[in-house]
Amino acid sequence: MKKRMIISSAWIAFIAVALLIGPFFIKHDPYKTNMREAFQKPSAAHICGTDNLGRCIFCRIIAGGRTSVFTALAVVLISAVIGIFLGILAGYLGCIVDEIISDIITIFQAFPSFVLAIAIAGILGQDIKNAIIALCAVYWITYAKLARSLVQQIRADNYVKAAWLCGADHLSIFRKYILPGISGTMIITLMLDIGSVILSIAGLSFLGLGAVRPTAEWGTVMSEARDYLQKAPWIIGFNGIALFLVVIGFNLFGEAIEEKINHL
Amino acid sequence: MTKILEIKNLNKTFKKASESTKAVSDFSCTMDEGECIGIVGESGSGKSTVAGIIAGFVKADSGSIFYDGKELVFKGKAAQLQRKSMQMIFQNPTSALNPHMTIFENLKEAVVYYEKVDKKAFYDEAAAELQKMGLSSEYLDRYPKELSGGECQRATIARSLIGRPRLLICDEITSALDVCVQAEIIRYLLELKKSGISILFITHDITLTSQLCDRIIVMKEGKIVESGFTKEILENPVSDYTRLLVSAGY
Repeated sequence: MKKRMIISSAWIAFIAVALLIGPFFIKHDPYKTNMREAFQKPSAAHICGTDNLGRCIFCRIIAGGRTSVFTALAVVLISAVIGIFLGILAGYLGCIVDEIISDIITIFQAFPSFVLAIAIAGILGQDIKNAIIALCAVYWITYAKLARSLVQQIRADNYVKAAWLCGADHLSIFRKYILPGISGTMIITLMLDIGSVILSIAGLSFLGLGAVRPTAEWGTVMSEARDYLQKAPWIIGFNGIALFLVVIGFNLFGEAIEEKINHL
Repeated sequence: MTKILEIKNLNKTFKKASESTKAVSDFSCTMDEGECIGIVGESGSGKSTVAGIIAGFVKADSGSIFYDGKELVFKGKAAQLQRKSMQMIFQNPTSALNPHMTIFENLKEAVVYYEKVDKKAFYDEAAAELQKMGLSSEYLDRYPKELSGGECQRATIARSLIGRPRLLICDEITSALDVCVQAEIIRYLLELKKSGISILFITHDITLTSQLCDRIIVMKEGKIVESGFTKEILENPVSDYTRLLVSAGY
């Protein structure tokens, strides 16, 4: 357990450092085209090769990673805040508030989540901000459902009843009982969702519903590269490897946190 | 003797979709200060619902409860304030303590909402209360998951008593415990009774009431089947159901 935590934490730290300060150290401008260097195979000059416009793939991976990971973090955080807030309201207040929020959740759940995200992003138009809105509209449901059921469960627990009998007000019950009770599960869900959201953003961008070209974003880069899959497989290949390594890193980190929290 | 509790015609029906279950039907009783009353019955007889209504966790459909001469309400801060001198001990000791707090913090919760607590002084007070329950002060820094079921129940009782309640509702508090711990808890409740605390002791085991309770109320399907002095009921039960409970117990 400790080993997994150390490895995944180190990996996440490496990714964070690479994405935060990497763009300042890369040799080439990820957006600068140079037709004379188009479709260069991986070499010492361009370790991941170049694309159809001669742009350095490695530099675009670093720049694209920033867009993909930070957008994913924004989606997960916004979804978590909205979902947890509504879930807590539904679970704690019950009655009509719970009914309304549960009905909204049911409506959103009636659609396959990625199809709904595609539809919303399609209606709003191609833009990374719209992709964030579309994915938030899909991901908040998980948090709301989870928070609602956890709060309902904690509220029914005897220690909350005992606290009420001891004179605890709603704020104290929320702060001392509900919040510590749900935070572990919520953090785990949040960490495990990051990987899946990165893939969803890449998916939307790949379909032309996320980042606008020529923005360096992994999905956009792969979408551009699919036309040259046979001619320059390294474009999709290195992007795919980067995507895989980052997603696996966040998933491992999420699982390590899950183990840690469940062990407490 | 002053009446600490007076319950008049309590009714409660639980409704779920098209089904409805009458949990408590026309329940009435009185309790004197310092008295120990046992409510006995099988699972589903409505005894815990009665306890929940008194404690304010469940709202009665009709009927009234007078605690220390005042009618109890079920909503808002007033409901809590009225029950300030009331405490409840639950069946499952491990779910009765906040798992995210140490035993000391759990004990502090019993008083912190009504009075300013000096941490150092309260630590000593909490240690003394635990000591009475046979637990050393070391337990104050432990989390509930580090305690056994019996130790948790003792810590729960300590939490219930640290605020000096006048009425203690014990809802099947010995059911989840082994016989030795059961005996210890009963012995401690007897000591408490001597100190003047009124105890409402809810159990399905009628034999436990013989040691502790002054009077017994026997419940079946939400209704009172029989009530009276413990000795009388145990020796000369009138209803077949009580006779069955007594014969099953001995």
